Amino acid sequence: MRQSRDEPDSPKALLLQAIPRLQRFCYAMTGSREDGEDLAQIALERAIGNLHRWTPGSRMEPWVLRIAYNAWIDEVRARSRRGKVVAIDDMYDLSLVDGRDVVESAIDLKRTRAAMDALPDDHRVILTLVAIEGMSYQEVSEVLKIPIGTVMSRLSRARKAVAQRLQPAGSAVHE
Amino acid sequence: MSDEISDEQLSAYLDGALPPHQRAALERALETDAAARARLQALRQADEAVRAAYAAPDLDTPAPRLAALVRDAAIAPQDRLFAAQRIADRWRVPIAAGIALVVGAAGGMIAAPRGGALDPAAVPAGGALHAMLEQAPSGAERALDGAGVFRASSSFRIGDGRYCREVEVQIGASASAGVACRQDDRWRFEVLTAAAPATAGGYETVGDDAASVLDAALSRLDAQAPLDAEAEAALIAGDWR
Repeated sequence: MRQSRDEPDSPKALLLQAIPRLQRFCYAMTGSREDGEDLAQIALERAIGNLHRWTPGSRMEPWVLRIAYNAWIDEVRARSRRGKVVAIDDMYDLSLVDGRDVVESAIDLKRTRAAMDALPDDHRVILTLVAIEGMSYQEVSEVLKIPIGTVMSRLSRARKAVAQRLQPAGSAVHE
Repeated sequence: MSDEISDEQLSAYLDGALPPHQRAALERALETDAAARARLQALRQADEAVRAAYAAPDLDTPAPRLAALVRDAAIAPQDRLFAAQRIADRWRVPIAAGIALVVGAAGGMIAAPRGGALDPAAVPAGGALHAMLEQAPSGAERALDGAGVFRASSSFRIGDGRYCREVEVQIGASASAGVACRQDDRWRFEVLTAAAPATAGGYETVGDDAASVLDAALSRLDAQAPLDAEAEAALIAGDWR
């Protein structure tokens, strides 16, 4: 057995290194710590079972993130909290708050989360990868296997959607 | 108003993704366009808000159960991974060398509603393609009704227990790759790459696309490791049961 945890480039070591990014990604995609950890576990199990399909020498993280995203789209989403329990009511209540020159950060967090909940999956995933993970368009394109032009257009729409929800009433980001 | 500056431009600017000349032009335009500056600021704040909303420093450390899952996994030694990769490459090379058609040629062949098959992905029973899927060992090329070449690259089981095969069909200068799975004595394509005309210089892109399409499908199907030749031969001899 050549492979061991001592080899920095072993699949096992690379998978371990990928876990933090995978966790953050799954949390943002599912919107919940519990669902995020469940999704990360499914992705890791699937990655381990399909390692023969991973190209040795290539980067592990994009591959694992793509597995997680596919798992989310195909099955996990349906039984997750996101999409079912969305704080839409909170949104409307909050929108009545006036004169938000000084906005409590808690309110912004709620609005942001509601805005993320409302985004289509294929938009939220891009905003997550760019804003949270700091990925380049090229990297996002590799993870999702979509053209860079698509990354750019979805990203700008996702940002705009979130920005609009964050604007105080009366100073809306124009269309 | 700043109708000439799109959100997409502002967004790309935010990420430093604009080419230098566009970047310079945008910066000049921003100097005189307060509305566009406000939009840029709103987009920037959206990113900051998203980062703040999902800030979770503890996620920078692997959760114990996830770390244990990886540490305790029986992961094949590198040697075996490379061997499996070679098997995968054996069919990828021909794709990269000229992915093409099949929506036309093989599409007609596969999807023809001949025999009342309403499912366009179902392989007509009794046809040449069905016979190849049933009988041809992986790695060997077979003439397909004199119209093209059939090659199975591997056989494997998927998550729901079905047996599937990765195959490539070449007709003339073009080819398509796909994954067909067997159920109730019938084969059905779970994925079949779209055909594109084989053009010089376009191979890599198209090949990569085809490979990624297949990869995504294999991941979705929860494909297991390819069967070795002996196991596959036994299945062929036993009508895949």
